[in-house]
Amino acid sequence: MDADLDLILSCLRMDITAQNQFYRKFASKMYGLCLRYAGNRMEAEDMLQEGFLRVFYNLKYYRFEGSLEGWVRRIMVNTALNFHKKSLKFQNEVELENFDLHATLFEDALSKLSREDILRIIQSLPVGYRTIFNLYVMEGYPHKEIAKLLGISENTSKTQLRNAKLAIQKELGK
Amino acid sequence: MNEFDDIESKLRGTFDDFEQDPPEKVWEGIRKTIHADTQKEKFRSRLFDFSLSRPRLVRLYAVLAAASVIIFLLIVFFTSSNKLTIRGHAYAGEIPLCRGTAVLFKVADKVEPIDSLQQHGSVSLNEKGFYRFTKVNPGKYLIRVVPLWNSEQDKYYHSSWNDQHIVPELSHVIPVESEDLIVDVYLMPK
Repeated sequence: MDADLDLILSCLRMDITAQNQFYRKFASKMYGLCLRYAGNRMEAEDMLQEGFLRVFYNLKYYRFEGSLEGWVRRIMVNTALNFHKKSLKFQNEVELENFDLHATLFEDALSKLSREDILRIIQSLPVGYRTIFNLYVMEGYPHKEIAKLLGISENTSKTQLRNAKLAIQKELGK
Repeated sequence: MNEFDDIESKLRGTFDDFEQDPPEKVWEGIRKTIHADTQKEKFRSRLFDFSLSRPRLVRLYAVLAAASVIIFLLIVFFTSSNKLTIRGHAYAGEIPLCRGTAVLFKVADKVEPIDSLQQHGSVSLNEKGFYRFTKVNPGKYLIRVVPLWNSEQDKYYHSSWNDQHIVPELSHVIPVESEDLIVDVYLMPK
């Protein structure tokens, strides 16, 4: 906590070394996060840059409640959601036809693929599926909160998640 | 925390500790943006140090200052756009009168000059006997030149109106219409 406080105070004094240190402390994890939300690497880099700019501009409001990483992560997630705000479209609450989720199939396929391959599959999902998949599965947001965040119903959130998993399964099967 | 099914748990596990080093250009972009903003702020604070915390005041002052300048320029423009100049030299004999005063009088229309003269302004003659009246509205005028009291010229010459007369009734009125005028005045010798 003291180390974080010193680092934050130095960043607020526009100490470039401290800012660089702060950035490097969280950049790798946040870039990993951005890669999951973005459709490609270039988008992920833009997201990361904008996210950190927001972090630095809002650092003066950080209240030391919860972990610093958690605070940075929330800002990064919000940045990712804002990035796709205009293009976020959710299809009607209709599930992908004629597909069932097969846990065994999933596990077999996942075990054969590298993380990069699975990431590529997630990046290829429609923005809506990808966003809800990340928010629910990776960030652990409940459907109620996702619905509030994105301005959709809980049912839509649940359907979109199922559709995301079906779409991933379909890609895994190829 | 959500209760994840097997598929979700598996996917979650795949990316749980997922990290990747971003390209260096991302940090460069962040650094340039933050520190460019800082430089702009430093510049602004040097100019408006007292109101850095009151950006609205700065904008208000800037708007008021700009409006004042514009209004001032408009007033100057409209009040001087149709004004004219009367200039010339005063002579005592053949020599320019270098010590004295020129007085410009406005003449009212349709009234005997002597009852209708209104002093417009007076100027000192320079060392070459030169005078100039500016911002003169169109109208009818007379000019009177008065040598410096008790000077050499005062001993030998009368204060005179234009046309070398010592009384205004005999002087020709100077019509100022749309052009600047040059009127030389010769003092009447005593």
